[in-house]
Amino acid sequence: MANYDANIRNYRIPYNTTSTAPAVSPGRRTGQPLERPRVIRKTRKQREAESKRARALAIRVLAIATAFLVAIGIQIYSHLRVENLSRSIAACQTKLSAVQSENTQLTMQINSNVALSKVDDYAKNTLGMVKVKDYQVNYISTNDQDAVLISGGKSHSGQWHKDMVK
Amino acid sequence: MARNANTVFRKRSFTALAILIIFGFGSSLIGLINVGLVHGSQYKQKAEAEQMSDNKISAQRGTITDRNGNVMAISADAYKVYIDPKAINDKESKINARTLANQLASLLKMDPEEVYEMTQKKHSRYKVVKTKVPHSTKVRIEKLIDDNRKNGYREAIGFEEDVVRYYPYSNLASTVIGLSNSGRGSSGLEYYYNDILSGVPGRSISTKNARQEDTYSGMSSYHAVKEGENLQLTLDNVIQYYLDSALSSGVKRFNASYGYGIVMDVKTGAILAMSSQPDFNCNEPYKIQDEEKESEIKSIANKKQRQKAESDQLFAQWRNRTVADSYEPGSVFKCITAAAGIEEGVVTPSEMFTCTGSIAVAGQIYHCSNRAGHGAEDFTHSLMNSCNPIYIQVAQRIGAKTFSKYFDAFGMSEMTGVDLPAEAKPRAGVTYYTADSMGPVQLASSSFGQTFQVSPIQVCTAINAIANDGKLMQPYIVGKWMNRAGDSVHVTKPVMKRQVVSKQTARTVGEMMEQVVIGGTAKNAYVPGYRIAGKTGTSEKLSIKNKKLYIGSFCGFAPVDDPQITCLIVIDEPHGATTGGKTAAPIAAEVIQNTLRYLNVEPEYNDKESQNLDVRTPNVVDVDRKAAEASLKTKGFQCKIIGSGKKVIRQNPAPGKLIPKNGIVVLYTSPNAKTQRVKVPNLTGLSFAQAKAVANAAGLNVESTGQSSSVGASYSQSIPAGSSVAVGSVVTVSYVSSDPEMEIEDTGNAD
Repeated sequence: MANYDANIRNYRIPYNTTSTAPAVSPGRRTGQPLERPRVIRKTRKQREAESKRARALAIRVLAIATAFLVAIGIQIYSHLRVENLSRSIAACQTKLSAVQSENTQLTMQINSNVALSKVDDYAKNTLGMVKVKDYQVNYISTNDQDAVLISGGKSHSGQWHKDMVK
Repeated sequence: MARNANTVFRKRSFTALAILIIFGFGSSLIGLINVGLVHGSQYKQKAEAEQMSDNKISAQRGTITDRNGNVMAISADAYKVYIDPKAINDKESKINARTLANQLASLLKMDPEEVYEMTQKKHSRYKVVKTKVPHSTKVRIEKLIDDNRKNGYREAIGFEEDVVRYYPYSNLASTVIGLSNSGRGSSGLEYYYNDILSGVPGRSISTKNARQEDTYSGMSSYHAVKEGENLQLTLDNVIQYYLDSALSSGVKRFNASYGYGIVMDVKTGAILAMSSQPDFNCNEPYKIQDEEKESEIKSIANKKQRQKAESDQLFAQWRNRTVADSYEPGSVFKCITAAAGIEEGVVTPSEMFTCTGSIAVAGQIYHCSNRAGHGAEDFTHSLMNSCNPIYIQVAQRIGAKTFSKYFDAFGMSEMTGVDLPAEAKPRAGVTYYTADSMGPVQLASSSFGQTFQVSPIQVCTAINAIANDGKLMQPYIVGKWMNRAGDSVHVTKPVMKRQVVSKQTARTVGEMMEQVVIGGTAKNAYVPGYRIAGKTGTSEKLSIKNKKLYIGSFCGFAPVDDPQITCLIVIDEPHGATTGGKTAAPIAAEVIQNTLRYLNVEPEYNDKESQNLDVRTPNVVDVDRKAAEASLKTKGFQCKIIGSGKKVIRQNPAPGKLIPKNGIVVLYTSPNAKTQRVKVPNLTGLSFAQAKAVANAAGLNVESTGQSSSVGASYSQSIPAGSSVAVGSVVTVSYVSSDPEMEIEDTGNAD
């Protein structure tokens, strides 16, 4: 007996292995007309639902692929940015080093020009100055009491402010 | 049917796609496995060789500053400029070698011919034109290259990193600081402290792209560089300048071969100044400073001899003689003998002796500096007169064994340990006598500083012990070293080696030494207002027998009541004047006076000194002419009136100015009267009285520095002869005392 399911994709014919009848290809009974399998058509709704599902799947796959590509892109971009920044830093450091060297050179030139020997030479030979003598330096003692010098050579000390108030 | 076809089609499409994917990616996968696993290590090596770079990061050399933070040596980045002669002379090259040479020479301040010769080394691809080129010059050369890009200058000229060391004060303390070559110290402090100054280079391992720029990757490692540390010296720039300039002019004045000096802080042993003349410019260490010697060397025809002479002269100018050389200290050593004698109680300062002019020791006759003999004198006067026979007697009383003990105690038989390279090492039996090898003759010679050799730093340290109440200090020149952040890594603490004599003995000897300056052989070291103690020394250079050469020296300290500095001056092979009193003492006076003034040590004038001080000119402007004249004459001034007016319009010198007593004040009485000017006469070679008369006759005031006696002759004047100055100006004239006693050379050679 043939048995088949509703979708009739295939059907099976059970056959007796002990039978002496000549083997025939399954699916066809000799002498009997072939029954057309029943085609069950999908409804429109079913088809739409199916295509909807397929679209959704495609969108999901696309989205994931896009996200993956974006991530890679960001990674590459960051990498490039870091490289550029490193290059800029290196360039700035080189400039800084050069400027520092120039600063050192110029500072040393200035120091050299204001060295004691040059100052001495300029003061003596160009400005005609003479070095101060020891006794030209007046040492002021700050250990004494405050004093006031009044015109005429008189002076007060100690209680002078009280005298003024009086 | 249609559906079957679709299904089959779909099946077949998927199969084809699967095959494509499998074969496509599969081959990539196989390739990947081949590259990564099979030949992985080989490709890794190639990649590392190509991309990995292992760079040494140079440590910047530390800075050297003086005690006040003034930079004396500092490094900065610079460049080496090189050319590719092969590229320049290539057939396809558009470069004109002559033009390139001229352009480069102009920028690098070199001889164009020299640069052109370099371009003609046609088989070379690398020829260094100049090193230590600063950044500003490199920028100008880069502009030249850019302007001549089409001519191929970029292929012909290149730069490499270099380092330049700047010494802003050129010659100042040059023999102490030394020099560095290619980032390595070769002499002086640069050499001694090379490890501290150099630091430790770092290392950077990283990946580089095709432009040799660092790329970001996880395969880099970095070993931090340890920058060189900075040295802060105990030297003071100002005191160093005083010492350098006084020594330099002294060497010229006495036509000496060398001059060296030390100024030391009494309490700590820190060296405030150290100089060895002639010296060199640290920025041009390979240039011979002495022009005469340079032309002498250039005139030597034989190339080898010329090179040797040049090399010898360079080493001579780099040498720090204050530590590396030895000399016979001469009579300066008598201070040590005196200290030993007083400490042992064998002599007192007031003990009387008789000097007959000579003394016999084991058959050897030793003469005094005064062959006629000083006669009766106390021990203090024997030091003042530098009397050899007295010191021989004192040494004999002390005995050889005890004498050697004090010789060792004062540090004469050991290195001082100063932190400078090439310190002369005393050698027993060679440079000095030990107790075992010291017979009566050796003892006699040693008592007045002959027949043994010591270095200037040893002598200064020993006399410093007398100044420092008998404490022998270890001299040092580096106060501390610091890291780049300015934090101290090491601070040198003063080290007292030992107490060599008691405080009482030290002070007694100090007072005796003060008398030497006031009335003895060291009068030229006298400075009004300051109490200076010291001793002169004159020794014959015993190692050079065929030619009489001397070393004149002075070592002393000031102020006596509270010693701040010890100063040693040595003039090696002076001509004309040869004694320590005439050569070294005036230089020491100048250095001590300037140094004490700089250290704000106030001068204290005694009555006699006060009398000789200059006086202030009174204000007589707007005063009646006759009254002004009378007032000036009453106060002891001379008066010169210019113009016919009745009132004084102006005066020269101005009111309140200090001029010598009995000086001239010029009064201008007419509004139109121009300031009269006169030519300064030559005042050198004259006694003070003569100089004053000549100056007054010209309408000028004159004052003196140094000791002036009736037989003294001036050796310099502050305003050169022939200069035009206003009438009434003050000219300072310098003197060196030339007492008859000091004319005799103080060598005390044994006959």
